[in-house]
Amino acid sequence: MDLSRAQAALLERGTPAQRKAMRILVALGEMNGARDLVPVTSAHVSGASYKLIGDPGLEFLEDFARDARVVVPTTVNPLGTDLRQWRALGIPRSFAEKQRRIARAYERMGVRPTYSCVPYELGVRPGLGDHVAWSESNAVCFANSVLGARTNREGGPSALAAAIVGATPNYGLHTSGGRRPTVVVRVTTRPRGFDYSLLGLVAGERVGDGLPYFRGFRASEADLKWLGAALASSGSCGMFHLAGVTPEAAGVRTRGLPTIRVTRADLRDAQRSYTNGKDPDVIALGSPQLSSDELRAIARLVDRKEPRIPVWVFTSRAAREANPGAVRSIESRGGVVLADTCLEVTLLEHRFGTVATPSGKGAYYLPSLCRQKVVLDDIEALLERYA
Amino acid sequence: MAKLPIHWIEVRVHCHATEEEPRVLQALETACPVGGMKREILEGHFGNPLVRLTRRVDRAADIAEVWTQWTSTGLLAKVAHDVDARVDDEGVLHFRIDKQRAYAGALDLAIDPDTMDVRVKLMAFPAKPEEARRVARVLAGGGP
Repeated sequence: MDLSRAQAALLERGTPAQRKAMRILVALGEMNGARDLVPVTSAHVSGASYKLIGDPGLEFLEDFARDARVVVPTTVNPLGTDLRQWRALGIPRSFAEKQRRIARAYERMGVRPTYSCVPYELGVRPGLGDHVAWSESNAVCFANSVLGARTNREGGPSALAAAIVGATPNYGLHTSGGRRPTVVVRVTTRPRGFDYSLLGLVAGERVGDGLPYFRGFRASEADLKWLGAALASSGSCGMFHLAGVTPEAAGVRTRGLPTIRVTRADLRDAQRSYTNGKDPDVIALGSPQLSSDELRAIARLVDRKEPRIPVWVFTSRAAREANPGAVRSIESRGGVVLADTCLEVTLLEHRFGTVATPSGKGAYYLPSLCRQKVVLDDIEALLERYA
Repeated sequence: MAKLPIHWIEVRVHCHATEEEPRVLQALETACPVGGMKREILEGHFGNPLVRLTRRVDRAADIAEVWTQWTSTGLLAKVAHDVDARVDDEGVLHFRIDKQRAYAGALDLAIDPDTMDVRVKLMAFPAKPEEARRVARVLAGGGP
């Protein structure tokens, strides 16, 4: 692989963290046939929840943080709990302490303590054609598809390596060829609200690691957030196009591609197949974290109808602090508004057995990551049923 | 985190007639420093003697130690990129470590055929391949 003089110097004479980061990037590049490393304008790192990365991840990060410093603006994924509310949530002290050490390690490296899976809602919005190195599947899908930025679906360590070097291997979704659609998904129903999560689940299952080109509907940015999150969960996709909506859809050829049809019945089937529980213990809203608009919408809903079971809302710290009225409203109805953490990476299993959620991504990961049964439904239907 | 969602790890390497077994053992120790060792004497396709060394790790603390090493050397960062394709229908994650580099003390994925085979049996509930792939994504990549 062709390295610039500065990159070669990092590989040979950098600090231990820089050498390790370069070795990871070069190996990844060689495995994937990259010609060179392309400079990135930002990085987003996953692997911040102690629940998921455990002691091996904690040790790795603390060791790395001794001399690793990021050289591009870098944000980080949600933690395993809200460190300002862990006692009230019944989180064991040892868990919270180790979680705090992970946060400190990232901060020592210069990572912005966003602890959010939606960096694109916190002002980190790379422009069309910008190269970035993001992990967190929903953020990758959003950056590529909606913003037109270029990132592969990085793992946490490779995104961190890119943040330290300021570059990432140039292959896959960084290249124009890698962004061409491989399958047309013709949607014959008009999705609304919760349907976008279902559509993402259905399309992801059928497309696998392909790159779908959706036709047949229009959608807002918020809708595409939920579509992409579910799509990148049930499939390995890192990008999609939507005809007439996403920035690169107009310039691609779809003639001759295989076509998949998704109908209203397919969406209902997906809802049924991802629902494996009944009588939920909690309604959980997040995965990805809710935006300010979504947080306020939930506050209005619970104001209208007080739920009988707890409502846990996951959002970013910025959205929580920007919406004190909505937070008060939800909490006065027995809800909990959690920041810096998210649904499937947080510790839920010590309290609940069945979660009701409208999130396709949540429904996909909750059974395996949180040992939860799932009721997948629209938020209004859930509040109607459990109020 | 109580323990990693892994039932067991197995690392297997063949020592050919042209190789010195202590050196192959050293490479195996680099890849997997703990766990029970099994040594089998086999016969190759042409009647050549072959020794297979297998290290199996079952204890949670040992699994965590091996996983820490693989994380800290960046090995798992490389596995994370195509982790879905590396999980078989039995819920076992497969990858291969470069034997020569391991002998020299470094861990890297193998490109040529001189390899150590790694198998990681994942805990997935229900025990379906798609569940195991979810677990593998999170284990190798640090998040969903």
